[in-house]
Amino acid sequence: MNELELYSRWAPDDGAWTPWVKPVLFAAPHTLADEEREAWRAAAERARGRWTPPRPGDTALVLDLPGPDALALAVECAAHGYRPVPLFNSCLGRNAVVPNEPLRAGLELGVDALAAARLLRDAAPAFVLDARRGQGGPKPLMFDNRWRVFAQDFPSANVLLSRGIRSVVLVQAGTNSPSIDLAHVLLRWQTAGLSIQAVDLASTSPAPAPIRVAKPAWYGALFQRLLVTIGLRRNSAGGFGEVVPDATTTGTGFA
Amino acid sequence: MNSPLAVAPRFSSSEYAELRRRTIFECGKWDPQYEDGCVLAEFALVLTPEVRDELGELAEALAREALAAEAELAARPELHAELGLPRAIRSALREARELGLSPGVARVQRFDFHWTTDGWRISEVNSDVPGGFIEASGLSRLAAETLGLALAGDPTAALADALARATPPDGAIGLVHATAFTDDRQVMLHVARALEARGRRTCLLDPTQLDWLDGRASAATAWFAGPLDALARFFPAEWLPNLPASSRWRHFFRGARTPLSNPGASLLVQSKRFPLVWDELATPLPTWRALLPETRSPREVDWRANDAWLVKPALGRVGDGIGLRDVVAPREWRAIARSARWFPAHWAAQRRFAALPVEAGGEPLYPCLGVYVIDGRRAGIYGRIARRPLIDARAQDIAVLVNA
Repeated sequence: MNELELYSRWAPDDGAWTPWVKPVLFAAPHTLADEEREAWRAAAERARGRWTPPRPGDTALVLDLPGPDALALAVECAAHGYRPVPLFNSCLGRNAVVPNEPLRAGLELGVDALAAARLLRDAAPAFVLDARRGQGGPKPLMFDNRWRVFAQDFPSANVLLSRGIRSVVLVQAGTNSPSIDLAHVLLRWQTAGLSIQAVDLASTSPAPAPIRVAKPAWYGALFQRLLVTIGLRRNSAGGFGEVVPDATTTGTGFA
Repeated sequence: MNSPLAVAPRFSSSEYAELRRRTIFECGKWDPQYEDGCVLAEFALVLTPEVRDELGELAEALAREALAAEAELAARPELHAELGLPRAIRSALREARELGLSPGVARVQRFDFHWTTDGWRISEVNSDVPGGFIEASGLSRLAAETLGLALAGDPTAALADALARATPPDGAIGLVHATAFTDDRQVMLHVARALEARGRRTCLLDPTQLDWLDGRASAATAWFAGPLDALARFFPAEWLPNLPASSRWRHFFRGARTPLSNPGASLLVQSKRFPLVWDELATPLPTWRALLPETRSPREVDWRANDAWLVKPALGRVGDGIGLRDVVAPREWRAIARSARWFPAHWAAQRRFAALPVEAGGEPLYPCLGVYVIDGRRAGIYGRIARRPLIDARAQDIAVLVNA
């Protein structure tokens, strides 16, 4: 299966959520290795029966789990009627900070299970993220391929509401709080009237519970995206999380 | 006033779907969606050869003047603060007096033209790290095939040719960018393919992965190690000072012997406050004076009360932070106004022009034509179009073609 065929399977022409599928990993030529097949089998096994999503209807899912576990759970959720929408916005590469090969392999190896789900064109979305996207820091010689999500990577609250989505379930492991980048997205949705719930799969009895998304730093600020972007860019040489002082924040660095 | 821009018939839904797919997979455009909208327009803009040539001549004149002004400004450090440049960059440029300016090669500039009630006007030059190569070369080529029209030029090919001319046949070129950012990496991969087709080796890396020895750059990565014959930079110059000093980023401004496309000094004329120093320069700038709206310090004009003026950040990009009171959301306007009031030295006030829309499907849309000049010669057009008279991240990319 070539790159375009693979993309078309996850992002069919008539799919209601196809425009949001990120093409980056699909566009990367990749040859499956035996260990990747084994790793995917293990991820699929872990996902099986791990969590049952709500009956599809007015709920969207955001699966923010590490690497192939997110994709494997998305395929499981497809069997329950949710359309996986991969949002992986990062490249493959030698000596990369975030190893994306297992995800790329999962896209290929999960495609039959996805097809078997026979999803409706307007099936509710399950947005799939890699919780490792901001992990670690690059060392010399490494390829820094960490990434962040932005509000514009997702449909707006208007679109979700117009398509009958009323609530969003955030699925994570080890926490009920969204990551900072995702909080920018969820807060916009919450403000527009969508109900936000979270489930921690590491808890003993994982069940969605309502959360209030707190206002993250720089929410709605002038140049918010630029600030985060600069933070990400500058930190390709030194770690995420900083905000570049500029004329709109402080005078530091600009006299 | 008759528009020099025509709009091609809207692509059929199957043509459009095919165009989107091919732009992603053949041209490497990985960001075709922005929130709820596809960033690829469903039709193309069409120019006559005469309009293409007129824009090309104007852009080449602007480029000549800009390069002359850049050279003069580089030798006039006392003017750099007026341009709103960060202190660290001003310091690096001052060091050029002893160490020499870092040499430029394959100089790329893009001038953003708008059709207005007064004819053609420009809003800015992107002289540092202009983007749009995938769209201007790739998307436009696919649209040209679909519609049977001609390309307005191929900036990717022109850039790759210029870099190939500047390097030996088996030379290695470093493509410097923020590797974590796929929007930038896609452009670098697109350029890398064109360079490799011309027999050059390429290395994609971030600026901290350069070693500088006696002004010569070499790559220190797990995938490529060794000297580089030229650097193509897609990392904005004003962000370089945010890198650790150990990265020796100042070589992008002074003291390098490896040629750069573009050198850091290109930021001198990219500043939106460039017009504030025109009267201090010996370089004549007749084309700039004719095409760029009057620009003043925000301290000098009442831009808050007078809608004839807008404000923009001195080093803003992609339309970020442009203050058009009746166009941007009230909350955004308040934030912009507050920032421009508190830090006027980092903003410019510019007289507004009245952009004229084209009509597509009964809807008025505002186009912007980014005309590339590479090594002094016109090299294609990057088109964008927006529902409001502001070209920012919400604008769509549009193929710009020419009637044969």
